[in-house]
Amino acid sequence: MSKKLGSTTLDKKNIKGLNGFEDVFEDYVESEEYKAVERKEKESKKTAEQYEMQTFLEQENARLTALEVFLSKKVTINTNFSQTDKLILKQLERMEELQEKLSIELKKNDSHFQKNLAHFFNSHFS
Amino acid sequence: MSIKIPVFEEIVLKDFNENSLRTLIGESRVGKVPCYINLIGHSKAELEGFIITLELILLEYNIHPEFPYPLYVISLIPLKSICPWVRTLKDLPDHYFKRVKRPNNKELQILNKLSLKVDKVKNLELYKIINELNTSALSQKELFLKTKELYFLEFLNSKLFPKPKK
Repeated sequence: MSKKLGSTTLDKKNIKGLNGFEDVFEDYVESEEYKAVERKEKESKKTAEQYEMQTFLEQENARLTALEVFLSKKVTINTNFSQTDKLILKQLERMEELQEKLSIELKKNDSHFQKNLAHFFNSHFS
Repeated sequence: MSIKIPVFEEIVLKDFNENSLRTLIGESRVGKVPCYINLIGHSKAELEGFIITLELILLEYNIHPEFPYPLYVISLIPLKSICPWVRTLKDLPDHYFKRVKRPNNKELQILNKLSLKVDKVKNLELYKIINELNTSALSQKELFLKTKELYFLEFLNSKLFPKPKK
């Protein structure tokens, strides 16, 4: 069997099954068709390797650009013109307002909350 | 100065002496390319002392251990440090493990841009900026919690006092 076929990843059992076809394979391996396929594979592998580094560098470039914009512009704007504290105050005001409104409603003797609470206690402690 | 492809570089320690570490960090490309220091096999006390010295030296050189490129510390013992820590060499991000070959013209062009960007990021007051970012993160977290609570109250309100249909 040809050296090229001998180095395939086929196991011994499969190679044994191919016995008798050696000449056919030999002819194919030496044919222009096979060589062209092999050449194409090598070329595409080389191109992929070449573009891998280029893509990596382009990605790094994009990452560093975004990082630079984030650290130099966005963080500074966020620090100098932060809306967070004002928003927290607004939320607190609304929360207080709602808590007051809801507590009045929930404290009523016939409210759903009181009824559910009574049902819960009655079913567990009676 | 030659431009270097940003792949991992090991900082090989000769000893834990402060002066030799200062020289080593000064001569190395820490911050310009991703680096790591392998500290496997050292005791906890040794490591803690070393990390304090390392952090002081990095501060002296105004190098931030995370930006633009990280300086990893590898140790089996967990460390409290501003440097990112990993347990073994295998835990380092694969992203920066690349087979380096001679760059072609196009790659050299991108590398030139890259080195300018690295310098730009390095020239920022990184320690100050990161501190500000952490402080603002705390208040943002508080806002998140308050909003979550308010959402619940609004939900309750909408259930108890449904708006009349138009």
